[in-house]
Amino acid sequence: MPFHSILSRRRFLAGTAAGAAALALPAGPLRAQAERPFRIGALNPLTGPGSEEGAGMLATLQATARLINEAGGIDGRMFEVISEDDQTKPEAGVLAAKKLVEINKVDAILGTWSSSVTLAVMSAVTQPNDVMLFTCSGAPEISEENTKDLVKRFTPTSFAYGVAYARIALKSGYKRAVGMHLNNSSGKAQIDGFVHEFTANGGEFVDRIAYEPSKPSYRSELQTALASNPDCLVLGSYLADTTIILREAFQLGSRAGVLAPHWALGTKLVEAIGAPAVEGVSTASAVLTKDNPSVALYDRLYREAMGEPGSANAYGAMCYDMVNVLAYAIAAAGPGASNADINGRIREVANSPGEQVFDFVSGKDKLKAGKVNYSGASSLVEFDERGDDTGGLFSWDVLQDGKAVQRELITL
Amino acid sequence: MSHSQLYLNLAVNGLVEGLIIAMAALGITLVYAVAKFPNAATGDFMTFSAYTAKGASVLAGGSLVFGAGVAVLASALLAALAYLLIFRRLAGRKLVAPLVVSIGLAFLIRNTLTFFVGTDPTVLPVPIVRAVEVGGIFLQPLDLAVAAGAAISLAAAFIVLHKTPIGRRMRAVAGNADLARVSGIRAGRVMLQLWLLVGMLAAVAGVLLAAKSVIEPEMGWHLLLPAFAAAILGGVGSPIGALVGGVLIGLAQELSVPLVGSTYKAAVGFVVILVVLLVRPSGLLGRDRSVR
Amino acid sequence: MSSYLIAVTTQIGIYGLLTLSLSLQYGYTGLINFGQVGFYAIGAYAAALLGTALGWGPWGSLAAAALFAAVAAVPIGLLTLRLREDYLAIVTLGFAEVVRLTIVAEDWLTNGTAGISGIARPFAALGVGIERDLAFLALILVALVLVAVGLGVIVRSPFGRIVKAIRDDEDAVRVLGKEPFVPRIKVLCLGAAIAGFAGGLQAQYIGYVGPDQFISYVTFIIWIAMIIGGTRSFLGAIVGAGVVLLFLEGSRFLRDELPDISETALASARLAIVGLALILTMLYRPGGLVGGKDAR
Repeated sequence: MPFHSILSRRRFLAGTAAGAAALALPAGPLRAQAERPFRIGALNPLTGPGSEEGAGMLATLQATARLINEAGGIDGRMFEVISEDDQTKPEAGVLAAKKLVEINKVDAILGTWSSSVTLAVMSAVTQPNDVMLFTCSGAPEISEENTKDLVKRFTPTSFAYGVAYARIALKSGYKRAVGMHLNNSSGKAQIDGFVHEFTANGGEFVDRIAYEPSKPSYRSELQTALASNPDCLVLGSYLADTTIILREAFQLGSRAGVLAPHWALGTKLVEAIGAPAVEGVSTASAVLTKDNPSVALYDRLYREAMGEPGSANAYGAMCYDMVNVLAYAIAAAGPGASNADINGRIREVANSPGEQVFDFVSGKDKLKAGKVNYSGASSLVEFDERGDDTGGLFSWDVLQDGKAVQRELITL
Repeated sequence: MSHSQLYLNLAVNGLVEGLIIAMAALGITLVYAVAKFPNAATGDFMTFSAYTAKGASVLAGGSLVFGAGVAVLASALLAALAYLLIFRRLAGRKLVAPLVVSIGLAFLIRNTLTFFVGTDPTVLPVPIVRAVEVGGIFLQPLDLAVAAGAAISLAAAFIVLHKTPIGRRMRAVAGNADLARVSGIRAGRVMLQLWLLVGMLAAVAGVLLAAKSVIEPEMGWHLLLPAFAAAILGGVGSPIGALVGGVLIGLAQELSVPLVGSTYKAAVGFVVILVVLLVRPSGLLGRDRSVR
Repeated sequence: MSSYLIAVTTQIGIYGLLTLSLSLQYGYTGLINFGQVGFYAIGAYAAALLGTALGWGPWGSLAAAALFAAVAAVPIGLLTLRLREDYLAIVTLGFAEVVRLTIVAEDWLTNGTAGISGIARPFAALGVGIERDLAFLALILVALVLVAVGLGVIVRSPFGRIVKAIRDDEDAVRVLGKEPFVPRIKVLCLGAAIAGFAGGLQAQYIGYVGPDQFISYVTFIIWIAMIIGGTRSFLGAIVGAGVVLLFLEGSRFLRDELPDISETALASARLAIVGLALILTMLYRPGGLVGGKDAR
C-alpha cells in the first residue's frame, strides 16, 4: 500500500498554484465581459478522520472548476476556488466557514463531508448568511434543518441507501439479517432504512450492533452479530472499519452474505485485504451505468489529479457534480443574477424532465435550447423538496475478483 | 453458534486483546516504577514502531521480520533519545512535569509521523488466512503470534529485572532512588537502559497490534487508557501484574459487548481503574502503597 | 473581515474561560485534572437540551450549564480527590471519556452522534447580523474579566490561602488541623462550573453540539495553554489561550507562503510544534510566558 507523503501532494498542489492563477484571471477574449468571478469555498476534511477522502474532493473541485474556466467559464463568468480545511471537526469547520464567507466572500460552500461539520456550519454560517451549501453528508437531520433550502445534498440519504440494501437482500433471497454500523447518524440511518424495508417485506431482522470508530478489532462485535446465524450481514461502515470487519469475517469463515456501502469498497480495501475476502460482497451505488459520460470524464479528471481511478473516491464524484450543477444553474439564471436566483435554478437544471446532459462544457449549449436534466458521476442528481438527492435508482453491484460488476438496477 | 460458544469466543478475543494491552502496560509499569511517572507517550512509541515496521518491510520487499527488527531498534533509539534529551533534564521535578512533557512528546511523535506519511490507514504485509475452528471456537494464527509476543516480552522484562545486574539496579532505583545513588548506582545509566528496554517492548506491542489491525496515527494513543488501567489493576511496578491486568481488562471489555454494547466497552477500563483505586490501590500484585 | 476576527476572539474567550478553570484547579490547588472537557461537555449539553427540548431562554440555560457541571463535580470529587496526583490524572482522563461515551450511547437524551441543532443565542432582538456577534463577544469578554477578577479575589482570601497551602504541603495543612478534602472539592466544583459555563457559551455560539467536539484533545489544548501562559497566573491562563489559539488558527494564513506543503502536513506541523512548545516550556521556562523561570 503506497505511503502518502508530503511530496505526493505536490502534484495536485502544483496544479493548484497554476490553477489559482488561471482561476483568478479570466482567460482570453472574454475578459471584456468581466462579471465578477463566482467564488466557491471548498470546505473539505483535509485533516482528521475524513482526510482520506478530503484531498481528492478538493482536487476534484479545483480540477472541475478549472476545466470549465478553460472552456470560457459560464458565459464569460469564471469560477474561483478558495480552499479551507474543516479538520473533520465542527468548531474548526465553523471558523473555516466564517473565514470563507467573511474574508473571501464566497458565494457557495462546497464539499462538506462530516455530518456534524455540516450541521454546525449550517447553523452558524450558511443559514445566517444566506450562503448555498452543497454537501456529501448522510445524516437525516440535515434535511430537517434545511429550512431555507440553501443546502443541497449530493448523495442519497443514508436511509435511502439502507432501503436499497434491503431490496438487494430480498432479491438475493436472504431471510435473516443482522446489521452492524459505525456509531454515527449516517451508519445508524443506513441500518434503519434496511430494517424498515426488509421487515416490511417479510424479512427477519435479528440483531443490530453499533460499534465505535478507531478500534483495532471488531471481532467480538462480529461474532455477536453472527451468533444468531444470519444469512445476511449488512454494514453501515467506512473504509477503516470495513477493512477490519471483512478481514475478520473472512478469517472466521463466515458464510453470511455481506452488504456494504460502496464508499468503503474501493480499490484501497481490495489492496488491503485481497480480492478473496471481498468476493461476492454486494453494494448499492447511485451511479447507474459505468460508461455514462459524466463518470468517464470525472474518472479522467481524478486520475490526472490524484493518480487513482475516480471510483476510489465516491465523494470526489459528488464534488464533480456539485461544480457542474452550479455552472448550469448560473447559466440558467443569466447574467447579473443574484445568488438567490442561482439557488432557485438548481432543481430546474438537475431534475427531470429535460434533455439529459452531462458535463457543463459539452452540455451548456443545450441549455439555450430548452430545459436540461443533469446526470452526474455520483448519481442522477434529482433533488426533492428538502434538498436531498432522491436516489430513486440504484445500481446493484457485486464484487467479483476485486471489481464491482453491475448485477441489476433497483428502483426504490 | 450457541450462547456458550459465543462467550468462549469472546473470551478468546478478550485474551488476545488483553495480551496487547498487557504489552503496552508492561512498558508503562516499568517507567512508572523506575522513573516514577505515567508515560503518556507509550502509545505513540507503539505507533512509531508500527509505521517503521511498515516502511522497513516495504523497502525489504515485503519481509515482515526485517520490518519488525528495524522497528525494535528504531523504537529503542527513539526512547533513548527521549530520555537523554528530555526526561533526564526533568529529574527532581515534580511528577506533573514529566507527565505533561510525555503528553507533549506524544503529540510531537504522532504529528511528525503524519507530517511525513500522511494520515491514511495502511496495513502490514501479513497474509490473510482462515481461522482454525476447534469445537466452535475460532483461533487465528495471528492470535498465537500475539500470545508468543506477549510471552517473550514478559519473559524478557522479568529476566532483565530479576536475573541481571541491570535489573537489580533498576529495582533499586525503583525502590529508593536516593539510597540507590548512595550505594553507587549511577541513575543515568540505569535510566538509559530502562528506556531502551521500554522502547523495545513498545515496538513488539506496536508491530503485533499493527499485524492484527490497521496502522493509523492514533492506534497507540487509543490504547493508553486501557493500558493504564491494566498497569494499575496489576499493581504498578509488577510485570506479571501488567500481564494479569491486561488480560483481565481485555476479557472484561470483550465479554461486556453483548451486555452493555460496544460503545460502553471502552468505559470498562475507567470503571476498573476507579474500583481498584478505591478498593485496593496497590493493585492485585503491586507493592506500591502510597496511593493516598 | 471583522466577523471572522470576532469569531476567532470569541473562541479565544471561551478557551480562556476553560484555561482559567484549569488554572484554578491545578495552578492554585495542585489538582491534576485531565478531565476538564467532561465538565465542558456537561455544561454544553445542559444548555443545549434546556434550550431546545425544554424551551428555556439562553440566560437560564447558561446558568444551568454552570450548575449542572458543578453538581457533576461532586461525586467525581468524592470518589477521586483523595487519590495521589498521578492517579487523579488518569481517573479524570477516564471520566471525561466516559462522559463522551454516555453522550454517544444515550441517544434518547442526547440525540447521540447526530448532535443537537438549533440552540438559541442570547440577544435575539439584535437579529442575525454582526451586532449580535459583537454582543455575544462582549458577553464572553465581560465573563472572562469577571471570572479572572473573581478568582483573583478568591485566591487572596483565607480560603485561597488554605488552598495554596494544600498544594504546597498537604501534610503541614493537616497538622494545623485543616482537612484538605473539602476545600479541594469546592475548587473542583468551582472550576467545573466555569468550564460548564464555557460549554454553554460554545453550544449557543455554534448553535450545535455533537459528541465529537468533546474529545480529550480539548483538555490537552487547555493544559498546553495554561502551561505556556503560566500556571500560577490567571493572566497567564488568558494569554496562553490566546497564544495557542492564534497559532492554531492563524497558521492557515501561512499556506499562501508555503504552497508546496499539503494541508495534512501543515496540520501535523502545527500540532507537532504545539507538542514541542510544551516540552520546551516545561524544560526551560516552567513558569510560562507570564511566570518566567519560576519552576512549578
